[in-house]
Amino acid sequence: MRLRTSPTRWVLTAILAVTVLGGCNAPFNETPDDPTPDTIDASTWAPSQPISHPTYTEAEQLEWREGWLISMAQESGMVDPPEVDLIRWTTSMREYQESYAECSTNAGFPQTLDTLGLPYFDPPPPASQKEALDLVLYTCNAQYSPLPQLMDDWSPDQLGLLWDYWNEAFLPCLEAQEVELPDGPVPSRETYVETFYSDPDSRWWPYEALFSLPEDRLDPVAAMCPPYPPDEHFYGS
Amino acid sequence: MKRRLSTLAATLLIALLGLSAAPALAATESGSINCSAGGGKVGVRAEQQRLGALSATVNGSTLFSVNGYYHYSKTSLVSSGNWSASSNTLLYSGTYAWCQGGIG
Repeated sequence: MRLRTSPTRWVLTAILAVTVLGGCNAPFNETPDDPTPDTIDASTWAPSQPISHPTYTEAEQLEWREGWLISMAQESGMVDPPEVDLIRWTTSMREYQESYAECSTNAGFPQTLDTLGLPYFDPPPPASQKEALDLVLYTCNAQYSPLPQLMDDWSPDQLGLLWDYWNEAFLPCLEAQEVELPDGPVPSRETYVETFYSDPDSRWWPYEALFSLPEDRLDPVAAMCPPYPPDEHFYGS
Repeated sequence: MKRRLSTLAATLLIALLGLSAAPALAATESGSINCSAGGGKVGVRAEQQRLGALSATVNGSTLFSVNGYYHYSKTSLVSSGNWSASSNTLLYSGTYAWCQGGIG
């Protein structure tokens, strides 16, 4: 497997070296006595500068939920969506995806979380079941609605934190796992934040390198090098 | 000339009113792909410009339907067929099908 030898790799190596040599100031788990690259665990990364997160009152949450469900019903072409009581708010992305998958499974449309924590249908529901499936997914989203901050478009602070995580932890972690790093230049932090919405065609998604891994490697690598920063830092939950 | 301008203005007004009254429609990208020659499976990658519901089907079967992510990729169980991906803000440049695995 070819590893990138571009200047970007030198930058990543430098970041890795600085981080590892930083000893007790390291923002995520490395064993100080064993600074070999394979000790990097990006899942424990924490930002040096925590970001602030939006807060919503209960009334604002309920108002947002109503609009979100209306939009979902429209997208599904549901003419008369049912009134569904909220069972509980899901307060982290992981909890939301797990609840959504479990609810769908219990209703007869099995979903499994993949390595990245996202639900997929297993097996895929046939086209003839589309209406029933739409109703189940609507109901599950209504019963286990996510907090609005989980569904908000990412803020500039979140995008900056994402860039930090990918460069400080995720990419060095991949490199330590001898995973081929994605081709192409790494945008500057400023460019990434500024152009994410204005130039979506050029968005940088370095974790797509994970998708090139054989199945038997994907799980352990993704566990050590999660594609997104921890929820508590990224979403504040 | 004046009448033509009035007609044009009225047409534009109707068009604008029509646009503002139109409900949000999910944008869809679709196509067909055959991965059977190499023994691969059809995968679909879908991307959206803003967060919302993002879903994909292969041969009419729902492959994934997620919220809260800008893009998602998943491999299906079939080797060929028709695929589609939908979102209110679908990003066409980031939405496509591919052949996963197999040889050749």
